[in-house]
Amino acid sequence: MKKSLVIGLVLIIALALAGTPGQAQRRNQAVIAIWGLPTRLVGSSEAVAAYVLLQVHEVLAGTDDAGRPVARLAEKWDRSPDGRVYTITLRQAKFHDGTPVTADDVKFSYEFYLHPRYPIASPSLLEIEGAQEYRQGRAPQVTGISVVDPRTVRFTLKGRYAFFFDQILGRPNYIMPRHAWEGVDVARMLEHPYARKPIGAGPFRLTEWRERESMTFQAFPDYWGGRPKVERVILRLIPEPATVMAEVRAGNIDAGQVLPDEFEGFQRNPQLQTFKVPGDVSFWFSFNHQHPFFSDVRVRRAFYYALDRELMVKTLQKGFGQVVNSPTHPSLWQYNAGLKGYAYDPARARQLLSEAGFTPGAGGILQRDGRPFRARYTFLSEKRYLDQGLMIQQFMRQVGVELTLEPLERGDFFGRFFSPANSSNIEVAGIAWFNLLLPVQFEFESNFKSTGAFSGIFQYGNPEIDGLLNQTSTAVDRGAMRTLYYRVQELILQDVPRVMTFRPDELWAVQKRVKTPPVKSLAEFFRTVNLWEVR
Amino acid sequence: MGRYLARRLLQAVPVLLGVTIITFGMMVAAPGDPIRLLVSPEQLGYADVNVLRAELGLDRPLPLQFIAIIRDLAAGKLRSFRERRPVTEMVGEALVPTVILAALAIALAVGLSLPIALASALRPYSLIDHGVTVFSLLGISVPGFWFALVLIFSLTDRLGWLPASGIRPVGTPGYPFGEIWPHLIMPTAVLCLSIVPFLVRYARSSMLETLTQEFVLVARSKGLRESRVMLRHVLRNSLIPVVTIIGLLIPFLLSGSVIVETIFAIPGVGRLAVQGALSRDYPVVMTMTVLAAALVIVSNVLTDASYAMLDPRIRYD
Repeated sequence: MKKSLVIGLVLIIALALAGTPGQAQRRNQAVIAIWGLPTRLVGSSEAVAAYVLLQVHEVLAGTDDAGRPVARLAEKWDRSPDGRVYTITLRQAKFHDGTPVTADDVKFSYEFYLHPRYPIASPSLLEIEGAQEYRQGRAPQVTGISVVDPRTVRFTLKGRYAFFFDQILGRPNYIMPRHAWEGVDVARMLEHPYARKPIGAGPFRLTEWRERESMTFQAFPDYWGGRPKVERVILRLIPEPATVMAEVRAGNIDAGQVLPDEFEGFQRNPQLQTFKVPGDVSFWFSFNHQHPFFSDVRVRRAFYYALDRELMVKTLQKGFGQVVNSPTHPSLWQYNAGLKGYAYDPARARQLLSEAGFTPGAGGILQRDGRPFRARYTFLSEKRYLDQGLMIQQFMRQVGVELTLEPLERGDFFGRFFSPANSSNIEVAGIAWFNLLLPVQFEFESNFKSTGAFSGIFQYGNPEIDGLLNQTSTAVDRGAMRTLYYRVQELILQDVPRVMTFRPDELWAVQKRVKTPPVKSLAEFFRTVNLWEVR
Repeated sequence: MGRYLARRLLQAVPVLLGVTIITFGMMVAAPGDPIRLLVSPEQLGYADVNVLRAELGLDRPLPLQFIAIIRDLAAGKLRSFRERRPVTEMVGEALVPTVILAALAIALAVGLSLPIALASALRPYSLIDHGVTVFSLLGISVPGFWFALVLIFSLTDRLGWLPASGIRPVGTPGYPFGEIWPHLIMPTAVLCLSIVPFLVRYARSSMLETLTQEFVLVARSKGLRESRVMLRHVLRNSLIPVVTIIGLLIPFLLSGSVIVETIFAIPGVGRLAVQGALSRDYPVVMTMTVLAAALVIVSNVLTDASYAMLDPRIRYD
């Protein structure tokens, strides 16, 4: 018995010494810690999938920060005088399997995304002629997309559409090789081999996908935009922020997110560079606009005046964040930087509430017609929402409004409570919203147009906002469009469909040996991985 | 013995069936719609909820959904709602790191606690014994997540000796022990700390009791060496309660320690199960509960069988 124990111990030690992990394999590779990995890559609506798809896939075109079209797989285009027909010439680009990107692939990809069984239906694509009929299963193909020759494809739209480049040619309408997916049953596309081994025309090939563990990307030498300088990029899932920070400090991970409490320490670390950009997520809460209290805009404005949002940023984010007045991301050309928000003014809040007919009642709580101003504030039961809820509750109590905090488990919140059918359950609900995931026009329509999915949940509608958002899609130039967006943002601030609180900064630390281009958002950080250089 | 085991395993069938019915009932009764959790709220207006519902078969009546789940589970063809991969494949992948850690933790815990308990039992109320008591109390009281964070802070953050995330270095194929061992140290230590104090307490009291038995006196009076008395007579006869505890620990460790897996970023079954539950991934939840139930049954049977091996007086006829 003793003998076997000794032999066992010796074996373990020998094995351990034999394979001490070396650092050699780390050359020209970058490991990024990420809080989650996508569970699917086709038909996905997960925020984190967007970051992954960027590496693997390529689109026809997009727009830059100023909203001007940028050529990608499309080399040049020709627009008909009425603005309805675009003839697009493809550049010489290759898919990861070496086959050229052709007009057939383009038509196939768009018909894939418009297929009646494809679960995520982009409303912009329905602007293409014949797309609606195809989506409803009434036509065998999309008549508005025609293959002229292998390198030329023609898009015919139903009418003039201002978002052609960003919302039809742009993300997430990635071009996939027809030969790989030919004959797929779209309803079961996730069971197709290429669903987990995507072939794209993007800068990296996904060479390994370990679910809940990591994703490995290998530079694609024939990428049309030039071979990425970094040979391998690995996304490693680490759910616990403390672990991420320890791994970054120890040099085991090249890039990772840092908590506000620790950011200054990381800034002083000589091995590391840090960056701070406005986060992709902003927090807000909204009201049931059919509720007798909240249908009055004075009451909604009183919420803004009652909140010291600067103090919220200071307390909850150690100052790393911004008070938000616009629902869109500061890095976008549509963002109205000149908005003047509501300053903290509890006296003004009390005055507005009294104008709305509220008088002091029992226990310091305002009342109207004998009904005390009490409301349920519902949110996801996560710490970041709870912390905010507690502060909002305190601020509102100071002006005589009693909020009851109601944290809900995720499934309960989104399934039972936060859905259009059950929206009458809502009194006040807090949530976070990912900007930069979807086109701005879609965001505005979804949130503020009376037909939108989110405005539906809060039963909000404003004819003036509806009208302005209808005009944007037919605006002739960017200047006119910007004016419209600026006006919409002003109206949103005045009419208070929601109270926007703050946008936490995205804080990251990156090893100095990795050279990354300067970025204005986390989305841009992930969009420029192919430009990284690793020393 | 063989007949006894066969009967015990046969009894497992109705138990497992009951588990599936209760699990399914609880899943569908819990508020929350798997479809709404599949689509990010931002894309609520983008997604065609009916297409997704049909894709997952959730548009069928509940009894049919239940039959489909059981049929696919039995055939091993069940696919996850979120990933649409066979659940057997997902669980299989996730079990590897969990089994590695659980096996290491149990082996190490047994290896540590028996000598400690023995030392403690030989000299009850001595300095060693009191030391062991204090250590056990600390070990039971210290929360695992805190110990894990302390380890990470000192061994990774400050000293940079050990990696704090993952079960293996990035890009390593398979699980070669020579490469993954640095990743195993901290999680194994945390798991171990949660087991050792219990084992020590149980083993110590069991040994103290055995030491007062007459056969120990006989062995000593025969003139056997003390080490032989301890190993052959005392240790072996004190093992029954220890084996019971290990039998209870195995399903606990194999169904995964979510906290350890989360902190050390280990893609094990604990995280798989919790994510499955949070996203209402019915196939994953069903598979995991059935697996956990099966583990409990099997380890109970194994525990009973090992009693007979440890103590020849125990027979199952």
